[in-house]
Amino acid sequence: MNFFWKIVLFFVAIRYGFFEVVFPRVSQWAVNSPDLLPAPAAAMSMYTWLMMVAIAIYILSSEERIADFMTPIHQFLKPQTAAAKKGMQIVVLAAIPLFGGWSYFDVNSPKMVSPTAVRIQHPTMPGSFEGMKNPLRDPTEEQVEEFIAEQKELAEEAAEDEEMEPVTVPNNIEDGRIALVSKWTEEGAALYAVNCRPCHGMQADGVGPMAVGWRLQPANFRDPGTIATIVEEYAFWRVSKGGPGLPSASTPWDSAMPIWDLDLSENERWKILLGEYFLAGVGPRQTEKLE
Amino acid sequence: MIPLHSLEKNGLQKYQLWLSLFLLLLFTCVGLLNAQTAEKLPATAENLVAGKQIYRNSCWYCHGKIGDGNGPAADFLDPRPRDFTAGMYKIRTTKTGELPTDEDLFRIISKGIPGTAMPRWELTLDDNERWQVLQYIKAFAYEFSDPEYDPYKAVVEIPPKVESSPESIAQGRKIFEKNKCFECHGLEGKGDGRDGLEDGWGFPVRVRNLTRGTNIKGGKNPEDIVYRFTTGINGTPMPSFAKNIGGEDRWHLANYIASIASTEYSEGVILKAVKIEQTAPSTIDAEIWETLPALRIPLAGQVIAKPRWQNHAIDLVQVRAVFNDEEISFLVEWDDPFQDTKHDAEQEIHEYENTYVMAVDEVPRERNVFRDSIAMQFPVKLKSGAKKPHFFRGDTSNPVNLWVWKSDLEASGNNPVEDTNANGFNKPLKSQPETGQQVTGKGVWKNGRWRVVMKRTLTTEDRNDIQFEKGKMIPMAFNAWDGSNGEHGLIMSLSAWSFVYLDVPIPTNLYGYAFLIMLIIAGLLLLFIRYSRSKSS
Repeated sequence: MNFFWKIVLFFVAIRYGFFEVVFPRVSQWAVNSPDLLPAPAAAMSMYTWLMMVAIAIYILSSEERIADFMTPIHQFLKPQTAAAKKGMQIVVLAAIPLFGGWSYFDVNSPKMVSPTAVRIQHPTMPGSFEGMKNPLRDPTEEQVEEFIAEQKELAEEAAEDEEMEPVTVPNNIEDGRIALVSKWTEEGAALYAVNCRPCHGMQADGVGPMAVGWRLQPANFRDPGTIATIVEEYAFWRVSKGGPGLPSASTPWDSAMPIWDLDLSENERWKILLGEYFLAGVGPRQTEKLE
Repeated sequence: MIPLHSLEKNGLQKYQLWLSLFLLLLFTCVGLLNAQTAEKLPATAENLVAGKQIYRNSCWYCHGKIGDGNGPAADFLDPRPRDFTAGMYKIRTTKTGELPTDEDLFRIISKGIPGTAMPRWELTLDDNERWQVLQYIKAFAYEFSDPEYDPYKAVVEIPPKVESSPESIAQGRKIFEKNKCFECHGLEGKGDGRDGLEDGWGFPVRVRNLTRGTNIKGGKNPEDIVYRFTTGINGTPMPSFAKNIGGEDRWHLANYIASIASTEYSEGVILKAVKIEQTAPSTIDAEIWETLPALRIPLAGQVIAKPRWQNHAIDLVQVRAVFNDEEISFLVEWDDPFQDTKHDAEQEIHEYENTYVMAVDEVPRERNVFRDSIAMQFPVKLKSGAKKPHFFRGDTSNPVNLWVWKSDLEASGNNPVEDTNANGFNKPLKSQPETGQQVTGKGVWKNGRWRVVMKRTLTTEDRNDIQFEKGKMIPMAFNAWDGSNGEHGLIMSLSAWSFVYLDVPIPTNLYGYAFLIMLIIAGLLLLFIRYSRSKSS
């Protein structure tokens, strides 16, 4: 194989073999996506140009390479007498201007392209939400004592009523705190089932019965890239202010997320977050500490 | 079987052969062992305890802690969650009135019920977990432990399968007619045969629209459908036809129903409006409609703001568009089993207790109360880039233009389309003044389907109207109301943004430019050839 064809082969292998065939498959495998993930068109055209410039510099940097590269071209362009060679020459020489004209036409003719928008998934939350804590994760001693007293009463009722399930009374404040948080978590999951399940699904996987109607699919809370990667007050902001609370870089006009602070109390919204993290089987990200 | 000696002749040694047979056996055993772990788990004490925990983590929110179908979410759902204490199940392979087999229940838990709130638990619970929760659910009804009700004695027999073919489908259609399936399901299967039906629990029953395969509860394949009319659906007006339809005929009917259960959403989001020279059509029967590309758009219940509604009737709208130099016409089609052309504004409800509207008794879901209606929504101004008004009625700084077609106006002989504006869901639609009413329309209902044409000039003088520019992606969304489903106001279904694109012809000067480019390249090439030849000579 001569130098000219080596250069051509190298170009084709990188431009088509690597960028079009290998790259989409490797990225698909790397992020475990159901679809092939091609490189963005703008990046591809930039790489192509860079590669062509690099090849040109490589060839032009030595007289010998210029000669090596040009010889087969001059050879090809020589006047030919054999019919087969002459035919070949005409086909190749005619194809070049035709391809140029067609490319120009193709690039400039009107096309029906799906409008796509780059969307920032996790924009910065407003300062007013920063540093908020879910008060229901750490109940006060008073709340726990009140809860234990309630449980005692219920246990007495249950002792007399056969229909009722037996009630356990926590022995100390620590057990009481755990039992109280788990009661709130169950109440939160029930609120989730009523309010959030239609879109986000009972399995917290983003495929509730309403999900099919939206362009922007509801978040899958089991995906480690959603509620597991954000601090809880961030989730509280999203639940409270919904789609319309997003900045325009996050395409608020496509989000079906309601503004829940219109309809649910602050306590209910924090409770829903307890239930939501429980149903998804993940926990919120912990705030990094500055030492 | 290939004789062993012939393999040996082909160079395969005996030990290789035995080795491969051994490996094959090994893999089969491993496979069988794996399959066995997925086999059903019995109702042991441990499995019931594990099942209860799963039920308390996942199921009770709808089905209730005591399995009575009264969980906190139950009041908002239609169909209402199953009451496990009654032992009455709809989707089975057993005779009418009988219990389901364990495999029937396992299938429902695993695959969910399309078109209802029941999800596919196989996505998050493994086989063993699903069997455990199944055993716990069975324990709610004493019938399951009584050998007298053993469902395995009542499994229906299905004749050998007949593959679908045009003949089988045609035969199936005849059986559909002969057995009067249309009396409930309608002539075209849109569920428009009968209204006011109730189920065994006293809740309203809506007859299934058979043309929407994805919503057929027991599955849309002939293998599933054949069981529905063989076993009947317990607790609903759907009887068993086991005695009336015999042998192969059941497969013909199943093949026919599977063949009409085919309407799906479009893959893309763009409606291509086609340019024509003649007048833009004003009626549904213009022949041009059939030749145009259609976009089938999904709709969800309006669950974004109070009153939220998740039992919406219209979940798909099909739209086509055509235009000439002056006007644009849209043909909008959707399934609606009943034509509701009356509207009683006094029965509209404005105060709601909960975040969602309840399925039963909160709004009148019956005929002759509210109108059928549809609205096409466009932004008033096209923004640069991806910017759009919010798809739910726009927002304060980005108003939308809605063309609201109303069946009661149509019935009274007026122009049925109101040209309106909105800038946010929290304010009512604002009708434009009489001089601004430029949209005309015509709607016809037939066999469970509305077909409505809406037409307007491409541009208007009105600054609150959408102006249709050729070659632009114009956002388009829908709001839809089914009157007999109690829908009015924000109790409706809606779509997110799709796009309509008014196709533009290729500009003629582009051909010229492309030709010029070609000439320039050819010229340069010739110069290069001359240089090359002069050099080599």
